[in-house]
Amino acid sequence: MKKDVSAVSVIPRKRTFWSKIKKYKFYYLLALPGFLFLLIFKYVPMFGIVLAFKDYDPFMGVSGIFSSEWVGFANFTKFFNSYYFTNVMGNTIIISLYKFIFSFPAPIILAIMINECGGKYFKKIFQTISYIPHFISWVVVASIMFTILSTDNGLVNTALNSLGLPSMAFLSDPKYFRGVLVVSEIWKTIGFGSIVYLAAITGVDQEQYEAANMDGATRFQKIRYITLPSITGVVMIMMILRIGSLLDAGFEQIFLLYSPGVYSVSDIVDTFVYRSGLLDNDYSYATAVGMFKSVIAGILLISANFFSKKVTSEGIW
Amino acid sequence: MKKSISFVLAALIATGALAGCGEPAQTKTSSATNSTASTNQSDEKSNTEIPEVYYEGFLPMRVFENRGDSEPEAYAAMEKKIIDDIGVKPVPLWMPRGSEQEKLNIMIASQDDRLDIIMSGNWQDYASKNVLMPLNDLLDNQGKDIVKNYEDFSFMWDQVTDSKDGNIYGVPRTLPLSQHPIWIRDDWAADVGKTTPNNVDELEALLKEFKDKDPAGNGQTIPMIVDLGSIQYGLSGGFTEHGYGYWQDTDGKVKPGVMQPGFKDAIVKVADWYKKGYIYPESFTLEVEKINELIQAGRVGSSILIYSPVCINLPELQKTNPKASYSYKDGFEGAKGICETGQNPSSDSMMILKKSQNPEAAMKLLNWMMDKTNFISSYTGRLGIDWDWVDESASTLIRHDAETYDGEFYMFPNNLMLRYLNILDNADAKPGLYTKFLTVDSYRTKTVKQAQDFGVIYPVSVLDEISPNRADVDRMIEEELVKFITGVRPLTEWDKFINDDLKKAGVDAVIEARTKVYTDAKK
Repeated sequence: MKKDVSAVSVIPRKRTFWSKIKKYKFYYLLALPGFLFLLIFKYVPMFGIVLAFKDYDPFMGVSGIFSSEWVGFANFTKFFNSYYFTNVMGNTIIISLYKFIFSFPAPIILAIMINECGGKYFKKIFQTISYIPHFISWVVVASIMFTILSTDNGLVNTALNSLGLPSMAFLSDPKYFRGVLVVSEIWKTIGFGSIVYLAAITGVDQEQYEAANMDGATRFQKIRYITLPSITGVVMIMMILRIGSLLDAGFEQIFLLYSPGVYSVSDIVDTFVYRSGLLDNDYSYATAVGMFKSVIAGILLISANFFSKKVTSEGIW
Repeated sequence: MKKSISFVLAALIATGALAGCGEPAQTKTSSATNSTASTNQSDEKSNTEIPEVYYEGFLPMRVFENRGDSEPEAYAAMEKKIIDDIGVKPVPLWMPRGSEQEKLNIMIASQDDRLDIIMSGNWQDYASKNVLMPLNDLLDNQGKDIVKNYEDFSFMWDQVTDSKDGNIYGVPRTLPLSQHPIWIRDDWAADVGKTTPNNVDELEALLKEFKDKDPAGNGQTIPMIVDLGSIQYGLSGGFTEHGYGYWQDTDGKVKPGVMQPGFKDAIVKVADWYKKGYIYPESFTLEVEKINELIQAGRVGSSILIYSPVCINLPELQKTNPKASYSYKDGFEGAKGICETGQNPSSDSMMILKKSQNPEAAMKLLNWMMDKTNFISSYTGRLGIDWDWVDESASTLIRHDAETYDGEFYMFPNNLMLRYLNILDNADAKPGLYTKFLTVDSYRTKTVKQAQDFGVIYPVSVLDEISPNRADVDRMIEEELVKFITGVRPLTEWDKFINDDLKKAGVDAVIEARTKVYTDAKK
């Protein structure tokens, strides 16, 4: 009987953890700053969630985190008993849903439109212009919104008046305020958000379009039957990630634009946390409210991933 | 060899990235501002032996006039003067504009000990957190001029003293003030054939004239700008018996001002003006910069605001329109008497933190500021160089070069000291509107109403214990009043707001807490 020499010779030497570290030490060393960044700024601070279950006094400094009294779920109960609990949660969910419904598809549509543009230079210029708002801070955007939407010589109201229509208090009337939030969000994010979809569209096999041309497909049919199905995976992943941050209704934007007259439609969990935590120094309460929001966001993320895998076989894990 | 070089390079990149994230540590004796760049090395060495006092820089003066942008030599000279006077090096710390309070809170909570004096807020908020130093001994030893300064206002010490243990936790800052008169553009009033109104009815007639006759031209006239706090303190008193503030009902309970009979009438009146287009539609969303811009542009006919926007911006307006002037009628009345309510003495104070490394030096600095000449110098620079008296007995002065020293060491110890800050444009000029209001008119007491709870101190600990969700009530009052005025919520729902909504938000607990403190104080 012949001995299977090859089987013996290919048994690999079992690598230990440290031997791997040693072998790839340069890569690990280069990854070290990023790893430490994540550890120090993302994971270590997670210990702070214990504040939600304590009566923490911020002026006691770090030692107060350990020495302050445990209060169980008292801070959560206080939030649930607050008169504005339903209002704050409702606003957060409604504004987030509005933004999700209207601003999530917007970059996809823009990416398809840019892809369909013929002129090379027009395409480049259009793309660049659409990215610019992303780099403008919300402070500046808020000033622009105030100037454009003012009832006093504002661009929009001047146009309305010239058409014989009355001025509309976009920023102080609860009827319009959420609309302003959604439109300004779309304006600021649509260009930059389209980059990932454009990249996905670029990767679509061109032979499919050529075949479609030979079959006499119209431009809309090519979008409907080739482009959109080809980028479904990317769209689903982006959607899952977006659902994970669904309750992030946009603190900076709302904080800069809202006023007492529109609190009822704009006060969200984040603005509530800001006022309770940093202005009233009630860090424990603010932490509890923030944690409640994170738990809901986590449940949404897991649910979205589950359904995505069921429906499209795509998911983030 | 090649591997060693690679390893060294990778290590350098990694450590470089990590080091880049940090910042060099600062010590208590290091220079905190770059304005002293011109100070030579020997001066630096000597400064290390002088105690430094870090204090919260005072913002409003930076915004309105002084910019905290002195020439380095002028900054260093003023710093040297203070060091020569009291042997203390003052170091102002400016909180970022728009987020002053939260940055201050974070700084107090941090382990950084570079903060000795704070002056934003109520001492009770901080004393209850055990971060303040009792000042009794420091006042006796290093603060004699401060005590002397308050001889005529000794009741103010009650505002900053913990009644349980007698500890004084702050130097009082804000005395009772009357600062919400209704300003009228009286040159416009004359143009439309009217005089400065004496009462609400005359004001309404004038607003109509302003709207109809458009004295600014091209439809740019804004008959009136308002803010909510000023409607409460500047107007509602004319519709209520006790002015604005907590008041005692016939059932003995102490209730918020909005629940007082007659307050609704004030809101009905303002809502009517809003509906008629007399009030600037975005009054409740305006930032102070926009208000300043509108006044300077000569578009505002009247205001129910705190005094400062009109007083500060009038000189700018007069540069383009010398005829322009604003005035107010002292004792302006509504159906139930005087409209303006004076503000209670507050518990706002200058406080020294427990973690202060140099509390004696901090008290010395506060004490230095209580001298008339020192106070003016902190704002305008050195006497004889940056400014001179015109008439010392009247506390009028002129600045020689406003651009040289820019007020970094100004602290705003209290509004009493502002009486001494009468800066004239030239030696022959008279004090301007702003100066006159700050130094004289703010202290009107006979021609304003006083709230029923004048002088009552409400301990935060009691309010927190009995009414932990009182912020909900405050938010509801602010939000709903704006809605009623702007017509978003119909006034027919006023009774529902008072009897149902406020109760749901927790007003009963607020009433219980206020009543307890009020009745104890009155005993």
